[in-house]
Amino acid sequence: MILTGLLARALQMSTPLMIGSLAEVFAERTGVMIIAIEGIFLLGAWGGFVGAYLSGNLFLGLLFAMFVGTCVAAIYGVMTIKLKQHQIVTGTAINIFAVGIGLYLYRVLFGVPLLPLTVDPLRNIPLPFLSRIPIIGEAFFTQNILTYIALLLMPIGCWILFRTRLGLIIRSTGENPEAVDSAGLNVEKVRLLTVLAAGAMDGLAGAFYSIGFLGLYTNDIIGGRGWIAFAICFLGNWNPMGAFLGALVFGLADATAIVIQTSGFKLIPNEFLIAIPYILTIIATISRKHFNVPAVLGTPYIKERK
Amino acid sequence: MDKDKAVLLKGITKYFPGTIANDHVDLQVTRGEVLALLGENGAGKTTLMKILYGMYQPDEGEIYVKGDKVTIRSPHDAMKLAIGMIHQHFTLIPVHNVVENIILGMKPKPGKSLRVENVAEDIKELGEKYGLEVDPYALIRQLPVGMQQRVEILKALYGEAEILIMDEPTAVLTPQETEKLFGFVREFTSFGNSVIFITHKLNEVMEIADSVTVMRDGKLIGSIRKTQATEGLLARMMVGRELELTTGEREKKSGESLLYVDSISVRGDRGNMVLKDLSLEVRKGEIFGIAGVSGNGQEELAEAICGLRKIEEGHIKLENIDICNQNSLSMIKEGIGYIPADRHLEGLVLDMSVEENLILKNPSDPPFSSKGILDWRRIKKNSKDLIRSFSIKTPSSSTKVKALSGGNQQKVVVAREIIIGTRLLVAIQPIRGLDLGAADYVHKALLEEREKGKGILLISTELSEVMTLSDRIGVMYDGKLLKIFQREEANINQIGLLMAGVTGERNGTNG
Repeated sequence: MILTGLLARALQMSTPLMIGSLAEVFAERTGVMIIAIEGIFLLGAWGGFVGAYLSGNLFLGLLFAMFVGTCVAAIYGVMTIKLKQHQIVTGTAINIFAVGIGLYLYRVLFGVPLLPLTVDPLRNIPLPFLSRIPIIGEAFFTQNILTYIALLLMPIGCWILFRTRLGLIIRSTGENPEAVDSAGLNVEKVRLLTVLAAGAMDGLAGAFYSIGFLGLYTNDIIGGRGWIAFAICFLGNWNPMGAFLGALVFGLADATAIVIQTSGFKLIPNEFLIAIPYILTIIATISRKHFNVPAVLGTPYIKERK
Repeated sequence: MDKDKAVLLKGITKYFPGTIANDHVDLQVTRGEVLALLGENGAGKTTLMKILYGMYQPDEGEIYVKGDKVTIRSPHDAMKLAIGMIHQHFTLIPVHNVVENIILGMKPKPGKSLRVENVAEDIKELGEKYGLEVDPYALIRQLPVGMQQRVEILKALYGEAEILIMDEPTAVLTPQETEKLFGFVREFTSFGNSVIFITHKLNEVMEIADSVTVMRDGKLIGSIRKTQATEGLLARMMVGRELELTTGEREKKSGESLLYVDSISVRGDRGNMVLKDLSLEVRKGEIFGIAGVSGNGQEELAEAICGLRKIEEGHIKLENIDICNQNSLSMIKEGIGYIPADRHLEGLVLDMSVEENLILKNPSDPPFSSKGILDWRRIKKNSKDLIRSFSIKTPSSSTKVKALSGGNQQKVVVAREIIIGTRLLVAIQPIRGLDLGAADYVHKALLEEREKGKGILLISTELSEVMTLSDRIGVMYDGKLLKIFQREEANINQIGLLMAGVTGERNGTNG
């Protein structure tokens, strides 16, 4: 019973991390770090909640979250790709801006309610037959729609990146944009479109926190989980399957911490469990020999450079 | 318009901030011919060709391809017009394999899929047709430079290029590989295709070109048929004045042993051994030249000597004192000067002034500072002295180095290192990217230091440079010195074979 609950919670917690880190893998493979990921998560959560609350339809909420995510990514993309601004500076600015604008627009719309406004979160959909399997059935196959989407996205992402023309172009752009340019492709376009798509995914991931299971929006709802998705991209060695594993590890740690907290088990301090994935990230980073880090990560492409 | 003209450029002008890279340049390429585009570094050849290939947009001028006026906005447009370009710095992705590099940017044609297996077959066929065989599944980073160039050529051929632009293609090749490349160029043009061959080497022009267009300082100097050209005439057109080049003639005066490298092994950046059990000796008053294709361990050797790279095995002695694995500061104090291969990367801080760059490696030495405080009066005096004695052209000694021309930047490096290198000078590609005048100045400076009894280790991929200056020549291949020649017995053919790793006496093949 505890195990089932733990696994179910782990998968749930890793869902947005999967979507966010996959988005980051794609963007970074073109050479752009989405430093604004934390802010896009937050505004995605905001968009998801606002869309769902005002329309009364969760699906519209998710769509609106993706739209908001794409808009923020567009600002970030134009600043860093077209205008060649520094990615870390621009991203940090957007992250700080997101916190303020999220709260501001929430209050513009709803004032300062005494009790937090809520919507009914996404319902779990038990898959026929599969959900009846003992222990894992309830854990893995009684999840909400976003989790299933995330689980499908990971292999699809892998396939696109390594088996298609598009994936080849994306990977090449982060390794040698000059080669992409001289192959007759538009480096800025490849990057911008990828960043926009990643923004939509990040917005969706953010919405998971607001309407995926809590059903409300607060200004600290993301609490650094965007950064975790960012780190998972690194931990997963810029590979979707690596990101998938990384997201599971963080999700499991998150879930264990929650389960232990609620069960009153006192032997291991809760904070230690929360810290484990970070420690693992550091160990994995130090011990890894071969990095797939894109060669020009973080560098804008300037075409006519003499 | 004549259909025989593959390409016609009219009045092409391109401005870069502060300079005119191309000033109303005309150029004409006939079908089935090789046009050599000749000029010194910085003459604007590459810019002109990048305009033709759509990577730069011209500010003025017209482009005609096969008689039709065209606008080429991107390489994609150029490829549609069957123009291909082999860049000087290959545009390949090292971590991808050959097929992946070739299909990048290709769109599937009707009836032809872009499945990796099919493309690999096509590449094999193309390779056999033109004698450019390469393993389609090899990763680029595992291929030697000569092979990487083949991939670049195959990429253009796979895109069905009929007009091929080659930007200094022989710079990375051994003499034998160059021969093979010329063979390809002749065969390619025999099918009615055209080649634009960018170079600054006169002998190549005389060997491969049908006609020659010469550029200098962004301007068109003239176009002539090869049959009317002589090397002397071309040299005058290219340089714009008579040049008395260093011949390297000198009396023999090698003294006692200075630097002794005793069977050292050194790891490269990827952790593999790039120097294997290598030994050499540089004597006082001697220039020891190392020839070889780049990437065979030359830079690592220089770094090991200058204290920039760890030596795993073996010893380095300077006049019998072991200087192995000390840091670079103690090497500077020992009197070893180091002219690095890339002055922008390792030699200079471009945003700092000439005077600051001149004391960059020993700022804490008296008289430049005392107790950590810089003495600007002395630094300026030092700078003014060096600017005068090395005739560095700079508006003032406090001008930022990035405002100087390439030749004068290199003079700053050379001046500083000659002062530091009181006993030994290690120079890698000391004339890379310099025009003939500046290159000659650097060569004369090196010969002068030799006269003073310093030892000089000269590492270069330009065989002619090594042959002109060196007293002894070692050929480096795959981290080893294959053979050491005396100046008199050096033979370009034999050295060329050794550069390709062929150690048998003239019976090997390369590739």
